[in-house]
Amino acid sequence: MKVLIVSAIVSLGLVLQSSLLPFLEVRGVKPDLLLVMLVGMGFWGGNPLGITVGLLTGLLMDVLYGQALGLHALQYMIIGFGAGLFYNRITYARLLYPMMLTVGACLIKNILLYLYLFFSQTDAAAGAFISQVVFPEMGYSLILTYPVYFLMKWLFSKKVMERRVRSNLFDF
Amino acid sequence: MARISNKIPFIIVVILSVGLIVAMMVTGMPRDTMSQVEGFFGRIFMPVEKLTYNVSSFFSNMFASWEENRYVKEEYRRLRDLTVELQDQLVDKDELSQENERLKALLDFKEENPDLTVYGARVIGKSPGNWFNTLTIDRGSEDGVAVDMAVVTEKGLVGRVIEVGGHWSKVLSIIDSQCAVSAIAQRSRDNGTLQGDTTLYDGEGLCRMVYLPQDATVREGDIVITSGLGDIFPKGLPIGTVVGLENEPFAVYKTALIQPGVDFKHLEEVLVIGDAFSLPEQTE
Repeated sequence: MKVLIVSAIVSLGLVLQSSLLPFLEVRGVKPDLLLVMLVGMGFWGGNPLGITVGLLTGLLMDVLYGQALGLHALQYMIIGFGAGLFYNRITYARLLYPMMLTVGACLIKNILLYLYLFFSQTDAAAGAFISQVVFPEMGYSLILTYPVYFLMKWLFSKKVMERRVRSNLFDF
Repeated sequence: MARISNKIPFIIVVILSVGLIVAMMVTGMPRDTMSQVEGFFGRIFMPVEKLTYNVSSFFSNMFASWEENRYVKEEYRRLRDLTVELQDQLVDKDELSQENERLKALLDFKEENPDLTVYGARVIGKSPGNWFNTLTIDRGSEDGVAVDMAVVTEKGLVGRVIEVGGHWSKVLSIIDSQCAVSAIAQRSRDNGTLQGDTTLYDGEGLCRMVYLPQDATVREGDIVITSGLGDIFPKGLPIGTVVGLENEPFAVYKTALIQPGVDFKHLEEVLVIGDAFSLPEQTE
């Protein structure tokens, strides 16, 4: 059931990301809803959920929209894993930490993207890349953080979404 | 042992990352065919891709049609406002153009009569009743206008000033039944008196030239001008054209119907003649 719910949420996120958000572009930049959702899932569901969802979501995006298989998968897997590291670690912060996680996730995502562009010898000016893509996307994604964060909090408070991993293998 | 188990997630992530980087390197290079990995995932995700594509297309089209609809509505409103604005501008331009034409004609009159002192004035009111034909203009005693000054347009005589305020004056038009102007037929030199007739003007736009002698040779088409008698209207101002004659048997005088040159129903700017010098008669 949990798998179905997570799959449905990811699919919905993917559909919204590819259909609705292009209409909400500001200067050609749209928020990364999937990234924000992944941060929320990792934060409230921990690992291995974060890793798994990140990896599969990324693979799905690579297959559906990517040019090279693995880029989105790597980005989202690391983001999901990173967000999962904070599972049960922060209980007192209401919004500041999720927002910081979103900022961190955006940075990781774009650093990996820039490295990919660099190594694939694609010409990308770092200054313009940061000012015209990274920061606007980060700011735009931060707006989505608040509703998605509380939606995930509500979702993962349900019994069906309880963590099944008995061991603390994925906790640090 | 615990320290090793703590590192397992990291190890998993690192292994997966390496695998993904290799996948990127393989699939990111220019190639003619799809890799086996891609083909494998493609086969797995093909139904999902199809479903996602269809759903995304559905929502995209929906949002696109909303967006398009919103754009069309905005564009419609913008164009509607623009149309109104342009119509206003066109009306203003047309108005200015017409005014320009009228003022140019008045200026021509002034230039043709350099000996006259004239004051340009705007008609700011007309008598609301049916029986009187008086006008109000926006020039008065402080602008140099005085009672009994003649008022003209480039088309001819309008009337005379009968009351003067600081910056406004009343003008009795030649079509008012209380107005009498000494007139002369330009060709035949027959003298008469032009009298207004409200009913006649309202019906046919005419007034009468009375007291023409029985032997007068005035005929239709003759130009009627002011005679200069009475020291109010300068001699030679055009009044109108003879359009008919009333010659009743046993009558002492002939009467001619005159079509005024001025269109009193569409009068907007006039000239007030300050000095009653004689004008050189204008020939056709």
